[in-house]
Order: sequence, then structure tokens, then C-alpha cells
Amino acid sequence: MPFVNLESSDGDLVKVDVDVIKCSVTINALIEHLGLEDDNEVVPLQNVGTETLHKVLAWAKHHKDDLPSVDDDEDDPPRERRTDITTWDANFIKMEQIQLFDLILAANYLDISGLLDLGCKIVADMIKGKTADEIRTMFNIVNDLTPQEQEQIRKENEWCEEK
Amino acid sequence: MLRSLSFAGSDRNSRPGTPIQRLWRYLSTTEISGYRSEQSLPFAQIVDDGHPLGLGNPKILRQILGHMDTKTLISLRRVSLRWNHVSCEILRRNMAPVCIRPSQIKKFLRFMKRCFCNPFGSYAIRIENLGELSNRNFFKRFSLDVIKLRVKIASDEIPEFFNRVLKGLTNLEELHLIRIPEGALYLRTAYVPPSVWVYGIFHFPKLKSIIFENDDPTIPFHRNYDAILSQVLNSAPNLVRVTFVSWDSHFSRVISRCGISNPKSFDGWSFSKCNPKLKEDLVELFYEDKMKFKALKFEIDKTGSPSSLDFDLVMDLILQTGDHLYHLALRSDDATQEFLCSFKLRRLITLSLQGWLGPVHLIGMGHQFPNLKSLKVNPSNFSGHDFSKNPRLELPTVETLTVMPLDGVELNPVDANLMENLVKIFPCVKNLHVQVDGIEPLHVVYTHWSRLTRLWVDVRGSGGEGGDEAFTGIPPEVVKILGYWESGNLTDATLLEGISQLKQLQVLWLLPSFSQLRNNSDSNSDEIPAHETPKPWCLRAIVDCLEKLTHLVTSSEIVYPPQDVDYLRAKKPELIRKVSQVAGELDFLLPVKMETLKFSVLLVLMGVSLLCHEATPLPPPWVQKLIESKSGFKFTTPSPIVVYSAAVIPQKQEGAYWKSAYSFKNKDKKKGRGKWGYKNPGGKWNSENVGA
Repeated sequence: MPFVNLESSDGDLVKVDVDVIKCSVTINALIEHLGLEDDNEVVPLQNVGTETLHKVLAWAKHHKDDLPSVDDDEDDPPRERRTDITTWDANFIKMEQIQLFDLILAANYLDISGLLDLGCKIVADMIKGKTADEIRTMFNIVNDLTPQEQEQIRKENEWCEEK
Repeated sequence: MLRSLSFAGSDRNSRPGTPIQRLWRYLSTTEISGYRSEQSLPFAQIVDDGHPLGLGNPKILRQILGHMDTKTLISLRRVSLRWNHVSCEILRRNMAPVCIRPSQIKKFLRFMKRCFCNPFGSYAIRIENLGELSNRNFFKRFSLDVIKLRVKIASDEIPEFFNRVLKGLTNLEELHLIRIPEGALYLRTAYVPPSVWVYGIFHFPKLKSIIFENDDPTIPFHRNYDAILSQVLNSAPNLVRVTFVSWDSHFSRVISRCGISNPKSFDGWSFSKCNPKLKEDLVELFYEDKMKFKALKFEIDKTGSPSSLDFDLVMDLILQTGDHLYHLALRSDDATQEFLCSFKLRRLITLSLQGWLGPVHLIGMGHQFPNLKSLKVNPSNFSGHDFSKNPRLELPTVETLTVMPLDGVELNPVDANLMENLVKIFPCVKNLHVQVDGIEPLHVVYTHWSRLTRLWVDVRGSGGEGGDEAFTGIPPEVVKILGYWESGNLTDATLLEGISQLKQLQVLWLLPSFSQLRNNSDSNSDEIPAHETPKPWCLRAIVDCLEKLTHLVTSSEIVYPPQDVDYLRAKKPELIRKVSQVAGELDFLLPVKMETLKFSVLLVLMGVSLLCHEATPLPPPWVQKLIESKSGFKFTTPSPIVVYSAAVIPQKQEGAYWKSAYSFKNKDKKKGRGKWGYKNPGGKWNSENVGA
């Protein structure tokens, strides 16, 4: 069974079954186009720490037999998703906020759509029901809207909510 | 150019007047509201601002906000400039059209001038006065975003502008046009609506509904307006609904009196009884207004009364529609009336002459209908045909042939001689539906029609009492082959060799009729009808001989021996899989055949059984849910097929039953409600209340 060596940003090497990590479009493309036939070759993942990498691999191992998801058309708009989270995924995703965002960033970097969607759904659940101020505080976001722009948004929102 | 790298809020000093601000402020909303690909929009050029949690990454932010509902997205616009942009991007895609009242248009335009990020994707607007500057400005800026429009056009309205407006509304889905009639102008016989109305070139690819309303019913319109309306209708290929309100013209009279639901499909079936006025309207519709239909139905009356439609007039009307015609159905009770078409209909794919009692001339049809795929005729149409001329190449493309006598009209079924000639004339037939009363015509089918993939045969029989004796003149072998019987008291049923010769056969139906069940049962009883217990069908022969069989449809009333079903499973696992997958079955079977099967229970082997009746608009919700959960099939309103009830019947659960339609019907009369269900293996009746 073919394996691939992944190097985390911490410098740790992790040997992974290709079948497990094929859910990552990034690594899959590397394997297909560059032909990493030598087991000693290493794929450096500069944006993924060791702990996060292990998390990603745990998720990938659990979902390795899942059917490939249909790729969204780029022109197709992102719509409200209603996918339910399985029990395993719900337990897996229970972690600190900083770890969760690391996982999301890793999933984005490795282009693992299922994991990215899972993480983003959890963040979306965290955001729902909170005011703009609470969200800015929670995620340390700077409010760069001018008062005029805020007033304009308020007026536009009145039209949106009028229906 | 864009503020792509300096988009972070920390860069506050440089933000006012930065390129992205200016760009958004002056970008037309029609350009940014979803009609172009994502890559061409400024959003796509927003790049990660390095937010430590990754929330500055537009892809991640889109992914997160994609899980939000509209209300949440609206509130999230206030978080930051970046969140506002991404929220607006999703809102434009998902939000329902924004309704703008006439009094609000000015105000809306005013504050939209300051809009730096448009959240509105589409609009539903009402225009009372087209001449107002604000209304014109709205159309100039947002015409591509208008999907619902209700507009009142005054008689003195400058039509050139509205003509331009209509041309720009290419995404319009619903149009309600209120026209104020000309009044005194109408009285002038020489008055003609401006030519731009008549010769305007419109195209409404998304228009689904249109309402034409006369604002003052006491004043009729100038008749030339019907030509304009027909032009609008002809330019809307996907139109499904047209409504006239106080719009008294021959156009609206024909459509309203004929109950035309789809304005592109013209159902003139009852026109033989039309009054002279309606006939006149009909002629106007085709000749003056040049309305083009995709489907036409006509009934020709042999009475010769002034109001009746004769064959020549019907053919002239068809000629007016010309190349737009895809489906044509003609009916005539006159056995001496010949069907002879003298012109070419290049796009005609379906020709139904099943209600045509006179002879049909096949010679020349190949040239006149070069794309004909489906032909419905009845045996009497061939009575005067000279088969010795062997017009083998006349209709080479017909793939679906239906040769059935009219319902309720006693005509001879297809005999062996006619079948032999049909084989010669229509060599490419893949689907055949015939009525026979003997085995000989079927032998011809088995032997000569090698391309046949679907065979649907009705065996004529009286269906009276007394078991096999009821099948007067029908060889038992035919009954054995086709599985169409009335009493079901068959003995030693086996497949003949004939059917096994149909190597290409992909679909096989083995269905009984339920009229016998209905006749024998006590209509007031809740008891299950007596079980028909025919001897086993030879499933093994089906499995062994019909290698290309993909669909086997049979009835729950046929008791298959468990060992035969096991054999079928072992030898044809793919068949089992396909049969048990309801998706393909329903999609495939329902529209084609089930509407002709009243009171028939179908059991897709180990799948779903369906009980059909034409009187119910939709199956009960739980049935819809069940079927939709097992398949990609979606019920629409109105449903093309009407299903009373359905359930998954476990394999080998041969005692499972449906309370049949008649019991529901009668119970319904008494109590207004009925129960449906099936028997569990333990014999317990599972039922569920369904509404009347």
C-alpha cells in the first residue's frame, strides 16, 4: 500500500496512507502530477502544525470510504447548507476555538472540502444569534465601517426586512 | 488597483476613497448582482488580510456565511466592510425579490445612489405611471434585476420607451400588464397601434406567467392589440400560464373557453361543437394574430354545420403554425374522411391519429414529417392502405408505435397480416403498444421486430365470470405470455418460447387487471379482496432468456414462489437492484403508462407498490415523502399521474395487500375518510389515515 510522508510546520514527519489523504485535493494533485513514487520523499506542509495535522488525518481516516462529494460549480452560489453533523463528527469537532480555526485553516490549505464545511458549520453555529458587536469582540474583528456606511446599511436592511 | 491587500480594518486612514470604495459606489447593480461569473466581480479579488483566525480569508468567510439564513446575513452586514461584502454576495443569490411599491421607487433610487455594496439581487415592482422620471431611471439601472413586474400603461403612453423596457427585461419571470384602452381612439377604424408595438422584437426566456388586464372593462381594445399579445406570447418559450382579465377579444375568448392552461399548447379538442363566434375567433387567432403553438388538438365534425371544423380548415390552421408544431392530435368520427397532409411539418415528433376513424395515407409521410418519432393509429386507419407498394422507407424514424382501437369503439384488433405489414413499414420501432386477440400477431413480433425493446400488449377479453371461460377466443398461451387476465384462475402457466426470443427486451410487464377484483368484492366491506392465486410464473425462463432485461414490473397479486425469486436474485442481482430502485422506475413508468392504468396495483419487485386513480390530484403526503425519500422523483403540482397510495412491501411478504381503491372510494362516500395500509408479516394491519 503506497504511503506519503507529510512534514508539519513543526518539522515532524508523519507517514500517511495515500488512500487516507486522497481527500485532500492539494496532496492528491501533488501525488498525481509530481508522482511521489519514492517513499522517502517528503511533502512539507508549512501552514499545518503537528497537532492539527494529526487531527486532520484522524478525520480523513474516518471518512476515507465516504463517497466523493459533488464539486460545487464555481458559478453556483453558496447557499444555506443543511447538512447534518454525524455523532462522530460532533465528538471530533469538540475543541477549543483556536484549535477549531487552526483546523479550518488546515482544511482550507489542504483543500479538504468536507472538513472545511464541518468546521465552518460549527463556526456558523457559534455566530448565530449574536449581535455585530459580540461577533467583533469574539473574533477580534475591527469595525472599519464609517458611520455613513453603517447608516446606509441600516437603511438597506430595512428594505430587506420589510417583506 | 483594488484594495485587495490593504483591505484590513487596520488600514483605516487610507480607506476613504480607496479604489475599491469608488469602484463599488459607481458600479451598476446590474453588473454586480449575479449575472456574471464570480471571477469577474471585485469580490473575487479580495484576498486574505491575515486575520489570525482565518476569518479574513474570503473563501472561509463565504463558507461560514453560506450556512446562515437571510435574517442572520442581514445582521452580519454590520460587522465589518469585509463581512458586509461577503454577506451581500450571498444575499443577492438567496434573498427573495425585494418588493417596491410605486410610491417607494423614488426613495429607493435616492438611497441606492449611496449604496456601496448592493444586497438586493432581484426586484418585484409595480409601476403606475411609466412616464415618471424615477420609474424610467429605475428601469435604466435595474432592468436586468426585475423578475416580477406589474405595470399600468396609459393609452397616451409613449410606447417606444416601454418597448425598450420590455426588451431589457430578459430575466423577467412574471408580467402583469394593465392597459388603459384608447377609448375614443378605438372608435376610429383607421387607428392602428404604433408600429413599434407590433414590430418590437422581444425575448423573455424566463417568463412563466403573464396577465393581461383591461383597466376599463366597459371599453374594448382595438383588435390590433391581440397581435401584440401573440407576439409577446410567441417570444416566451417557457411560458406556462396566461390570464386575461376583462380583456374581451377573440384571443382571450378562445383561450378562456378552451381552458388552455399552457398557452403554447392548444387544446381545441371540443371545437366541433363550437359556436360560429368561437370558430371565427379561432381563425383570427391563427390568421390575424399568427399565434404559434407547439401542440395542437382538433376534432373534426362530420355534421357539416357552419360552426364545425372541416378537415381543410384544420389543415389550414396547422399550416399557419407551421414549423413550430411538435405534437399533433386529430380526431374524426367520419370513417370516410382521409388523413392526407399536403405540407411539411419538419419539427413534428408526435402524431396521434388514434381517434381518426378514416384511412390514413402513409405514402409521403416520411417527407412531410421527417422527424416523426411517435405515431398513434388505430387498425381501421390501414383498411384502405395498399401495402403492396411497400413504403418501407417512408417512415424510417418512428420509434414508438401505438396501434390501438378507440376506447369504447368495437374494432378488430391487429391481426397477423396487418402486423406483418407494420413490421415492413416501421422497421425502426422500439416501443410497441398493440391490442391483439390471438397468438399469431405476437409470433410476427417475436420473429421480425428485432429492435423492439419494449412491448405493451393488451389482450382483448370480456373479463366476465367463470375463470378461463371468460376469455372468449383468446388462446390461453397469450394469457400465459402476457400476464393480462381477468379471472386469474390460470393453471400450468409457463412462458412460451416466443417471448424468450426477444433478446433485446429490456422491460417486461406482467400485470393483471383489477376489474374482476372490483366486481367480486363487497364494496361496503373493509375486508381485503379475495386473493388471486395464479400458478407461478416462470421467472426462471425470464432470467435465463432475457439477458438485457432491466425492468421487471409485476403485480402484488401474482404470488411468486420464493425459490424462483431467490433464483432471480442470484442470477440477476443487477435486475433486482434496478427494480428495487424506485427512482428510475417512477420516472420512467409513471408518465408513460400509469395514467392509462386505472385501478391497477403495480408492484415493482421488492420495491414499492402504487395504486393509481385519476381522480386524486396528488398522493397523500406520506406517500410522496416515501417515494421521494427512495428516489430522485419529485411530485409536482398538478401531478401528471395520480397515485393513491404506496408502501414498501418487504420481499417474500406475499400476503401484503392494499385496501383497494373501490373500498376507499365507497368508504369515502360514507364517512369522508378512509384508511390505507398493509399487512405486517405477523398479520397486523398497518394503516394510516388519509384525507378524502
